[in-house]
Amino acid sequence: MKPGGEYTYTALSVSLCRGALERPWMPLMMWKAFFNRSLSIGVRAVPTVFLIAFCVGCVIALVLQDELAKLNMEEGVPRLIWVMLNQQLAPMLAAIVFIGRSVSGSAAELANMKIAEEIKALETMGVDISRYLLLPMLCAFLIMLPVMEIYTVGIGLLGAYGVWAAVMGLDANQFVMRALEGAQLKDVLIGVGKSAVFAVVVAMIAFHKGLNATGGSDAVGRVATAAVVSALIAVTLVNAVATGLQLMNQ
Amino acid sequence: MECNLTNDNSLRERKTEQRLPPTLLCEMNLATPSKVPEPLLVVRDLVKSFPNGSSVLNGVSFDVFAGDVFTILGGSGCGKSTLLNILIGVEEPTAGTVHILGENIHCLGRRQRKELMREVGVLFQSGALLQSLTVAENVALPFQHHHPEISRDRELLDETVLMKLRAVRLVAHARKYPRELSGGMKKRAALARALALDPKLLISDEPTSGLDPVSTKEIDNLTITLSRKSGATVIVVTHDLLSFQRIATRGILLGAERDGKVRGTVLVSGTREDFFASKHPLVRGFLHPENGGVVVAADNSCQTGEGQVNVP
Repeated sequence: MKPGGEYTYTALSVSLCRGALERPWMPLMMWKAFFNRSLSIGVRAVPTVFLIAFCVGCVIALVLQDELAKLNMEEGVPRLIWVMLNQQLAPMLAAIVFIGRSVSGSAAELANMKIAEEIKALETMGVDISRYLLLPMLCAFLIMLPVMEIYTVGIGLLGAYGVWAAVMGLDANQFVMRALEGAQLKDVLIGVGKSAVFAVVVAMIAFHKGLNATGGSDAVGRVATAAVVSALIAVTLVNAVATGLQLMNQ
Repeated sequence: MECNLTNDNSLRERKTEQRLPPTLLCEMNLATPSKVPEPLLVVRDLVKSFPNGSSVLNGVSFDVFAGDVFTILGGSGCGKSTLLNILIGVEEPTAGTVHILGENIHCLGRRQRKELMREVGVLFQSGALLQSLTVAENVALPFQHHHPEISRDRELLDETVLMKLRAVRLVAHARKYPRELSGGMKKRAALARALALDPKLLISDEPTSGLDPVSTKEIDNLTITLSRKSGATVIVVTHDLLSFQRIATRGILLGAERDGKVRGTVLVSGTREDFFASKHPLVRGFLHPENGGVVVAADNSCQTGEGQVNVP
């Protein structure tokens, strides 16, 4: 990336790969940035994810229970919830919470740094911003989004079990046995894999929008909004393509 | 913009020269006939136009020599910030060249630019300290990137950073974040970071803007003292006349937006004495604003306290 130039997606991707491969070890300052970022985007998102995943788990369990009972197939509810959560709902839910909390925040932070000349200062010092600034963010995104996805699956199942226990009066053992009946590791890997792809996509959008911010303080809000909208569209499209490819290969 | 390929090896040559023992350097100097000192920064015919047709710099040329405290003066809209961005390589000129230490900054590759920027410290108007890092970490940043051998030795790095902070009297605030500092402290911390690698050239963008007179004087004094100690040549971009009078050895004055056709051109260049001896009405108007300044008419004539005169 040429200092002061436009930060295109291609330039950002090349620069990030080069930054990661040239010197794979991270100095202490980058570890600190990585842990701080992971803490803010992952650990502090736990209450939000808990609430949303639990409610969604409850709601889909209620709807499925109601509809499948008409076909006398309500015993299939746990299995359906397991598949839906792992392959579709959890990656999307986690990504949406992530976009709302972290993508907007990261894009705004980068935009603020751009406007406050912090990015220019780093570049003129000869500091590679990809390596020192963006790489710790990308690593945090790449680790925390799949972790949040797994967490969402767990909490969603808990919510579904709550409904299952209240309506059907059955215990946790039966719920787990039915959910895992015919379950495959592939189900989990699909969700985790999707989340990892989503993490890279939304991180690149946050970097691109934030680093290309121009103007005054009003640009920060504008950039955050643009990053959220673009990330939501991108994640939805990537999910549609991934699901299509997955079903074609089955 | 033309890139002079003959300069490609000069970075390597400079590094070789730095590695030579001092005695050998002395012998070389004795053997070489005395020459006119090589300028550290050479700016030639800089033009910067924007796609909408407006032009902020119109053929700006000047040289900065070792030991200078070179001031780029000018009113609002004269293109000072654009010129600074071009000098540090974050903006491309429409025409003209900038050579720093013999290198055309706009023709360097990533690695060459990184090498060159080790020799150039930049103090930004806002300080531009990274808000997520403490003052000490901000000062340590150039070492982490350019001198990994120092940053791997924790004690050495801490001691070096403390030494830099001691020079700007910020040791007590080393662990504070920039948001916890006053405006003057931020500027001092930014100055410590800009001078961390003992650069040959310090470029300072409006270092005293937004500061009270006492802090302004303090920053001016620190800039001079520290750059003298580290042997850095200083370029200060400012509109502060008091700072100019206090620190400048040489400088240029650029025509401002209100000056009409001469906007973005060099109105006067030289020493402080040359500035004050200038008969140019716009220069006199800038240096003596208490006389009501100068109003430029559409026909390029100036209305001053002394009557109507034409802009040379």
